Amino acid sequence: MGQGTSAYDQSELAEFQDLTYFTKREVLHVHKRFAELAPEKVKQHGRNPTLTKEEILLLPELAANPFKERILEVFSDAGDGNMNFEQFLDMMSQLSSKAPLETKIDFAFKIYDFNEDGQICENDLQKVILFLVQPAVTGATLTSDERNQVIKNKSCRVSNKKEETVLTEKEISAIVRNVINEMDMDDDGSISYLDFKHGMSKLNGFEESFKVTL
Amino acid sequence: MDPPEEDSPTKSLLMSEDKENGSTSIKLEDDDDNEIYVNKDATDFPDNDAVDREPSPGSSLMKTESRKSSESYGTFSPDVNKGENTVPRNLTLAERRKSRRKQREQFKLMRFGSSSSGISHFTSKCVTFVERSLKQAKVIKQNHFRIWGTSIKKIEGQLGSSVCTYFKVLVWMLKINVVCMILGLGLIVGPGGYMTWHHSQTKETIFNKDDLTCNNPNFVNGTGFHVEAVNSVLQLFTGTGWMENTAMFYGWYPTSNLTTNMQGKEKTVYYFSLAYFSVGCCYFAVSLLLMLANLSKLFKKSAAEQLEYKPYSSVVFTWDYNIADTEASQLRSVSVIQSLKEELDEDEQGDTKRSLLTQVGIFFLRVLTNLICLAAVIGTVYLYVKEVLTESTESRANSTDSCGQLINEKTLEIGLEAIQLEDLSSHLAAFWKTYSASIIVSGSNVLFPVFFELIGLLEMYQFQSTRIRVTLVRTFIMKLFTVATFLYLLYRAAGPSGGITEDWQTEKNTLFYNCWEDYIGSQLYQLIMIDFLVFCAVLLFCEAFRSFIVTRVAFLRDKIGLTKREFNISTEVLDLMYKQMIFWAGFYFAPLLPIVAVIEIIVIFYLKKLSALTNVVPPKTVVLNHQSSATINGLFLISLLVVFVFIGLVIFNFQPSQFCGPFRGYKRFTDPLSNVINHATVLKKFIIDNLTTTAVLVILIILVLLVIYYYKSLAASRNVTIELLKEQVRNEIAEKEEILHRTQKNRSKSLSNEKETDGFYSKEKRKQLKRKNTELHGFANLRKSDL
Repeated sequence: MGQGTSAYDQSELAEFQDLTYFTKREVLHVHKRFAELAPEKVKQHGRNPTLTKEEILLLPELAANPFKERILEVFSDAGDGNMNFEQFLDMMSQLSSKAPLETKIDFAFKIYDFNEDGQICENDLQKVILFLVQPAVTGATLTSDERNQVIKNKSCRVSNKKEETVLTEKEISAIVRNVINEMDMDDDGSISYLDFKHGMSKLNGFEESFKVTL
Repeated sequence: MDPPEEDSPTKSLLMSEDKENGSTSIKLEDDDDNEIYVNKDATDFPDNDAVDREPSPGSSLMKTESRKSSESYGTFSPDVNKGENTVPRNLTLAERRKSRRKQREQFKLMRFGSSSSGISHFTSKCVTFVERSLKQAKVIKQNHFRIWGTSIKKIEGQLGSSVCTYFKVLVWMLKINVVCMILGLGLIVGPGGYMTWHHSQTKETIFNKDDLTCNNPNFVNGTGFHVEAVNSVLQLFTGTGWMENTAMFYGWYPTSNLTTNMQGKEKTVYYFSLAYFSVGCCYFAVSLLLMLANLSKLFKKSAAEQLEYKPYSSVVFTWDYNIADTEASQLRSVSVIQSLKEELDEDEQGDTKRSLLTQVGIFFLRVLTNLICLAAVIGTVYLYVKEVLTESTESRANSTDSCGQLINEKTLEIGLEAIQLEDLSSHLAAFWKTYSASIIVSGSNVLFPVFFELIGLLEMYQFQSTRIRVTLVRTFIMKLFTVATFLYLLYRAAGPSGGITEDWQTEKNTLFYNCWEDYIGSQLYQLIMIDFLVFCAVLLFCEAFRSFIVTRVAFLRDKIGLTKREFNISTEVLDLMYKQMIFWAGFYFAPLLPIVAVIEIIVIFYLKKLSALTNVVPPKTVVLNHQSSATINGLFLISLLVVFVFIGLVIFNFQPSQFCGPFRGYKRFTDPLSNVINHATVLKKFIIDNLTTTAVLVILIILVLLVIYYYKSLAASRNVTIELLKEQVRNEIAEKEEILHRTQKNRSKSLSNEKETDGFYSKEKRKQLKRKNTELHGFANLRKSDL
């Protein structure tokens, strides 16, 4: 607990502990991971450096997530993805396993609401599905060299069948329609916050999957 | 003590809307120390847009609620466009800190005035100390320590949450076995060891088992030290030979009771036989209770899910954020696409897609394949039952009585006297004789799932999920059947010594085993060991070796498309269930087995973790996911039932061995219990006698059925309530739409008339609308506990 405390002292750590869902040790751990992303900036500013979106996206837990940019946009004050340490800490705290379900539902809603109009409309849903599909598509379109590289590192099963990774326009719109039918309770054609909350609180898998641990 | 917002993470909107008439406000300060009042009142939202978009980071933006009251959200304002302010705007960390500091100071000021006087300063310090320690306690309570937590997180990051289920099952199994271990060690092994030592001190004779040489034919014929050493090592795995005389098995334990001399009278402090019997029952009771507790927790969740089955939303909105690996996310994405496609296909196709002819053909095909499966399973079972049983009777008939006493053969090493352990073939024959049953059982466990999968492919199912489910069911039944047959085999083999009339008896001697409980114990122990070895072998060859060659040899990868092995969660979990079954079966006969079980589980965890992180690929289609924890629990319960039936039959039908174990000299296993009851006071005897009559039993059963019926009807009525409330919510929202629509029409009319009033509505109308909105939110915000 000694190394990373140069920036924050005990009382501030205690305050962080009160303000977030983390313990002091976890706060320091988050700070360490944050500092790893851009060591020079942290050395220079120390207390609350602002990192750009690209630097934050170097974090492997976020990099693998298709919604990474959207997450950063939602959690950053300025709305463009750059955030300082406090906002980063806040984000990690809300995404941790200790945050209550309602908080998670809030942020999930904000993340999936791309045009920020307070409703998840059809366009939003289409974008969600496209983002979900994206990792598979990038996997399928790797060149053979890149694929070999990936294989050397890991598991040798990047799908090279095109039909597995493509959803047609028709399919996407059918899926969108079905999701709206399932979730929309007030029959207005888009998913409002209430609908979303009601739906997600009944889904068991949601709480488990909507968390990022550093 | 604390400001109310910080305590309750879930604050219903009703609470926050209580102060209808007044305005609940929060005082914030921004960087320039200007005090800004933020009003919760919906209609006083004049500049919300302008202020919200202030770009400078760190400055306080106008938000309406504090952090943890995430359930309250911006109220509907009839003036503002529909959709704005419907999502909660939580404060950022910087703002929270500022507001906290302000509130704290104010709070302190309120309570203690100026902190100049010594006493109030002291008391304020005390209070803050207490506050802080309470908070610490809360924090510590929240961080419940999870066994192997970090390892599971790492695996989760690489393979996804579904694979995690397997490891969570392992953790849970560990808990059960540790509890059993503590029970066994504390109540059986400890006192048993003490008593044996105590008796050996006082040189009282307790019936010891026969001399070592008589027990094991191998020792008689072995030549040279190395043979004995090899034998000893082998016997570690078979549970015979030197192992039989250890505390591992039933036969070692004494029968006497622990007595103390109190005031000259001998008083029995610890009835050992009774303890052994009750601990045996406790193993099952404890496991059952733990599983039921777990199951009830999970069942609630999964029942709620059953009500509202949303196949599409559950796939689209539950991307696994735990995945930290690009490749795993690619695979996950592919599986998302596949499940979405499958859902779409399911919707499109009805049952009438296939023509009648093909349906009939498929029906016959499936009947055929099911028969094949059944035949295969029964065939294997018959094979090893026949071989092992006939062999044992044969060799028993031939064996000589080398110690001039009762026949000593306890294990399947009988007949080895006749074999000279000289050449390789005889070694192999001896090896096979000893291990045949266990090898066949373990081998079938590994090979049959593969066989079932192939058959599943043959059966041409429309959907992958049904195919996987069918394979699962078959594998489960196969494992259950295998263990049941093995137990039955043991039951029959021990039968003759157990005093039941069978036609297995030969003319010569009715006692085949000196200590048949030991026989059962050592057979089960052997099965456990062999199973573990087979497990390790599979890990080594099917996973490690395969991944090794796949990463090195490009030909296999590119041309043939061979990949690393998929982590098939369902088969793995069934394997765990099988292991737990044989543990449970063995606990009664081998009191040290819980320790072995715990050690084995720990070793399995680390081996599997290593394999999962390097040699294995996450599965393509996810069938066993988080919702299926309840199913897994159910499977464990069924297996517990099977084992329980076996143990029950053994206890009630067999006579305890006369020469070994804690039940020596008793006619039945339940004798110690009845003895204690009979010697108890008249009152207790009266109560117990009456409690066990049939009438009481019938009454109890009826009571239980009534309770079940009550809960079932309660659940049904709640379902009805849910439907009604949903309908109500829809109506309210429709009404609200109507109002909004009308007001907007009016507003546009009034604007065109250039009639601007500050605050469009009169105060009464505002109140009315607010009340309507409150009702609406009240219904919509019904928590699960209300339903």
